Amino acid sequence: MKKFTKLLSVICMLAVVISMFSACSKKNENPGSSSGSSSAGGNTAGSVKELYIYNSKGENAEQFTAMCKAYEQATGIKVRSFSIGSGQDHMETLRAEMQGAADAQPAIFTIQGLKELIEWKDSGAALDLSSVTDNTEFKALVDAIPEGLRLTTDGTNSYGIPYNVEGYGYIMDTQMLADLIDGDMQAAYNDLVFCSYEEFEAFVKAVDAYIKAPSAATVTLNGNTYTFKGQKTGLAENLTGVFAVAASEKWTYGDHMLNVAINAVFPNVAAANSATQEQLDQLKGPFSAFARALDLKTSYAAGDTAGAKRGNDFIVATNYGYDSTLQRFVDGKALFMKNGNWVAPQVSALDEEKASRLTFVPVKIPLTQEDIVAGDWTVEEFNSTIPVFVPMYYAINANKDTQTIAAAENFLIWLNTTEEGKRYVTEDFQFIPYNADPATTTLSNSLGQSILNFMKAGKTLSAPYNGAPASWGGDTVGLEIMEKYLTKETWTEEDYGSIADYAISKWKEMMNQ
Amino acid sequence: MTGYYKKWFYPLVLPALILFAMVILIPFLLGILYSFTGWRGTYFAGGGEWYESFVGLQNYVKAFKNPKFMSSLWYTLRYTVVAVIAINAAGLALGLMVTGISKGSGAYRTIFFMPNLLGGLALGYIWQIIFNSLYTDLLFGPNGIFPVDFFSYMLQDQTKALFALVIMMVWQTAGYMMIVYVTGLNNIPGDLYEAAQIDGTTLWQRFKNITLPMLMPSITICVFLTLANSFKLLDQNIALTNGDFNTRMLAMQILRTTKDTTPPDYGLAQAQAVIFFIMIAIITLTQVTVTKKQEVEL
Amino acid sequence: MEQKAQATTRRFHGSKVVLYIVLTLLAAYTLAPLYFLLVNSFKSQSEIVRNPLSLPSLWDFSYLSNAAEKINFFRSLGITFLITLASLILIVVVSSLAAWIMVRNKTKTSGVIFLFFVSAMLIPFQSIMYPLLNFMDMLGLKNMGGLVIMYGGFGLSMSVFLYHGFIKSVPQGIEEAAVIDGANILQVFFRIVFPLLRSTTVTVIILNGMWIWNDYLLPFLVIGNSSGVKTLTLELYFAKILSGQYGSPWELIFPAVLISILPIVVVFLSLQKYFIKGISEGAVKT
Repeated sequence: MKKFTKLLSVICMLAVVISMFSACSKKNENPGSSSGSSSAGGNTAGSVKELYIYNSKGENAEQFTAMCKAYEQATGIKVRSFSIGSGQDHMETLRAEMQGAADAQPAIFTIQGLKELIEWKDSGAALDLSSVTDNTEFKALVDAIPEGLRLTTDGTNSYGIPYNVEGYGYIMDTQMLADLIDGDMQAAYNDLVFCSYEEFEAFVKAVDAYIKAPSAATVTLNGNTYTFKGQKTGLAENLTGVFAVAASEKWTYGDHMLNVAINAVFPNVAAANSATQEQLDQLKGPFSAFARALDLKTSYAAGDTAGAKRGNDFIVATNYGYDSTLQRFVDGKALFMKNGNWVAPQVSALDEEKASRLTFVPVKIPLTQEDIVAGDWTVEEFNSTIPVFVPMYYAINANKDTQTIAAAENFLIWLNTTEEGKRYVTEDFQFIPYNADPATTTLSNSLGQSILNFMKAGKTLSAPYNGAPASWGGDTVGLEIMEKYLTKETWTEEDYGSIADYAISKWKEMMNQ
Repeated sequence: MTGYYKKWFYPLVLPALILFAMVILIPFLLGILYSFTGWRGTYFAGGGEWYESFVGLQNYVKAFKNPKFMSSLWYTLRYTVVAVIAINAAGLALGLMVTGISKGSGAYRTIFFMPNLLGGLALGYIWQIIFNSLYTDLLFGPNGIFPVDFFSYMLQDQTKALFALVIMMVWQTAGYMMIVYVTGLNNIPGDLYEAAQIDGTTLWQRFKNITLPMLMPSITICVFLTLANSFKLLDQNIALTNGDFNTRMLAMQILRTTKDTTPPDYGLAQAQAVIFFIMIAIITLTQVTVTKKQEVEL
Repeated sequence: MEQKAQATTRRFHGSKVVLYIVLTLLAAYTLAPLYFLLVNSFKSQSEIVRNPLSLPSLWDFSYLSNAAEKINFFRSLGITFLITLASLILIVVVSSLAAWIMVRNKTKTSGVIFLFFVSAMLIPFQSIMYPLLNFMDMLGLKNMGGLVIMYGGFGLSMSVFLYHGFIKSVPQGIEEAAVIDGANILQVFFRIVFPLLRSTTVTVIILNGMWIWNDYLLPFLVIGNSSGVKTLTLELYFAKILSGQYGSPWELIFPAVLISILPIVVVFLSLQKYFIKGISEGAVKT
């Protein structure tokens, strides 16, 4: 009996020691394997068990799975995908997935720009694609990424294949414009695109007046005069406001709308990432202009039965959350909704007809010529452009074995160069491919086509917002605007200034953290 | 017999020790260790191993200099004081009431206990709608039945949100405390009340002089439970306000620290977690000693 | 018991009617949020957004069945049940054995170990969450088995404490007789001691079972999405984050929450006697 006891305790102790030991040794082999050896295998992907793809875009989850199935059928390589909503805790989930043994980690994962890259570059998980030399097709794919779209820290390395390009602005239903205004809708739309901020502001106020009491008033856009229909007809009948505003979602104005203003000083992500104090001070004008435009947008917002007012009700998620705002726009209660082409599938699900008539009007802000430091835009040109950017990139996990890495490379080649792969990108995902030539490409979905048109005309801004400090936009500036200003009925000149000052000082403060 | 038990002591206690070491002790020590490093979650900054990434007390200094951490610390303390009082008062009141009736007492107990079965996240979402639609739109808002500014838009102000959280937590946990108090109340000998009644005491006198002192053990337990739970509150905090209007509490601050910067600063989060542990230990130990002392004195 | 209850009753003699009214109002208040959950489980997204308080215009069960499908209700229910069951068995067996032998073998070591277990009750989960996952991953235990072990570890402190308190009052004599009759140590414990601990076991099961069943953070961090097996709360969480970029798909969340709490409500209602007994005994011994 006594022997047995001792034996048992020895076994138990051994178990502990062994488990600790194996822990240490296992840990040691992990980080070492990440560098160098990665691209040695070439493009023979014969013995790959499964290709696991982590996709941080929830919207196309179903189509993504279908695409993986198609690849599996075409090549015989088993592909498993996981899609997660991009706004949610995708980083935490990815970290959890990346913490396991290399076997269980995703082979391809998505990175949302430079900000997220640092973590995976430092940890060694992101493979520098420019170091791949043995797979000529893949090398060609990497080399062909346009310079402005490359995910790079120093200009030579390259950590991702662009997922797609996206753009945003005020989304508008063309039929609704036709129902509002007498005469040529297409001409009116063009003039809305090219008009100045002041003309746009007058137009917004005229539409608001029309909603309250329709009359055949006139409005000038880009020098041309348009007359409203004397009576509410067609889609104009349900209007309760000019803009559908998701006031409780701080990122809607703290991220993308703010980005328009940042473009006045920083031409791209890298420039914003290495911002100087002086450059940040130059943002004062653009940010004040942004605040003014936000004032206009939130003063003429649509509610359920009548126009919405700023105040406590305005920032309640159940009233002005993302879903109810989208619903309001689809129900025809607002003329404009600031959003991107990624919203197309959601609009289609609610109203397919409407989705096919949508187009973009640029987000305009009242800049002065001195405000625009970056690029050689005039104020009018600046206000007739829309931001177009790569929202995220496919990265390859350097921790995987060489065969799997080779298989991941081949998958990305297939997706971006073969007819079948490209068809999934444009038709099923309803994306704009990053490597599309705007001059020759046409897209079936109207918002995507609208962005292509802006690209064709060279009227695009970029996303320097991504170079701002982490959690600066929505979580800090957006939050401040929501808590202090969207609850306030009237804004003053001083408010515009203090919003701008707050945004600048927080950027400076968080930059040094 | 003592020898017999002694012989078997280690074999029988060992499984528990191993489990304890694996899940609590080693991670706890690792946590203290990592709080002195530039840990980034999936790797260590500037080196492969933890000791190559040693940063000394830097994370602790950063934590105390971090306005978000300090503000969440004060907010947590304020919330804890209010919540402990409110939840225990409500639990005790419910306990007194359900022991005051005989018919249907069980049914009421069941109903009051039910909210404890729900997870915090789901609960927070439901209560968001309640505070907005019921409290604000229907009852206390500017267009409600009885406009009371304090109870309208409760989630849009730091102080109001604190009480909103208290209201929700009272709703959820008062039933649990009620059960503990009922047990305590049932243990008070009935003849004590009878004797007092003969002496012509009032209800309040009886409550103050008999019920309360006799209930001290239950109060110790309930305060202990609510104190620890209030201090550690997380899910409900996230689901109700998500930290907007400066309503981040400590547990959420630790969780969100990794999102405030890129790359994520897990070392800083861990330093905050260690501070968090020390505070909980001090607070609960002090409380237990103080109330225990009172029990003896009475 | 009876006599005490009567005496307590007498204290508030005159105000009985008022008491019933107050209690009923409070009960209604307590049930109101559950009412919201119920009515909104039968509404479409736009109806929830527009009229969150009213009864559904149509009792449409399709949202419930859709939610059940989305969260793989029966599979995840089974998984949650298995995880909870395995964790409880682990907790009960390990902690009762340890507590018993610690009480019977009163030495300094035993006292120190006991103190260790008890003081661990003060450690908040957040303090060890990140290193724990890191460590479990090193051991290759970031999986269901590891999850059970973690629950076992977290449940240990309180359970050892509860058993320890109870066993002190269990007489030692029968054990000695059994040993003399030739029973081995495990037979002594499981045939003789363990049945005597029934009420504490119920407490341990209820207190641990309640939080293991509802826990979401640990399964999220441990299982995440790497395998097809998910617990109820995890399915619920993923159902929410997978169904829209930023919005809240209420027409999925409400019915999903409703069906995910049904099992535990049913268990509670049928075993409420034990719940109440378990909680009050657990508290008294603390």
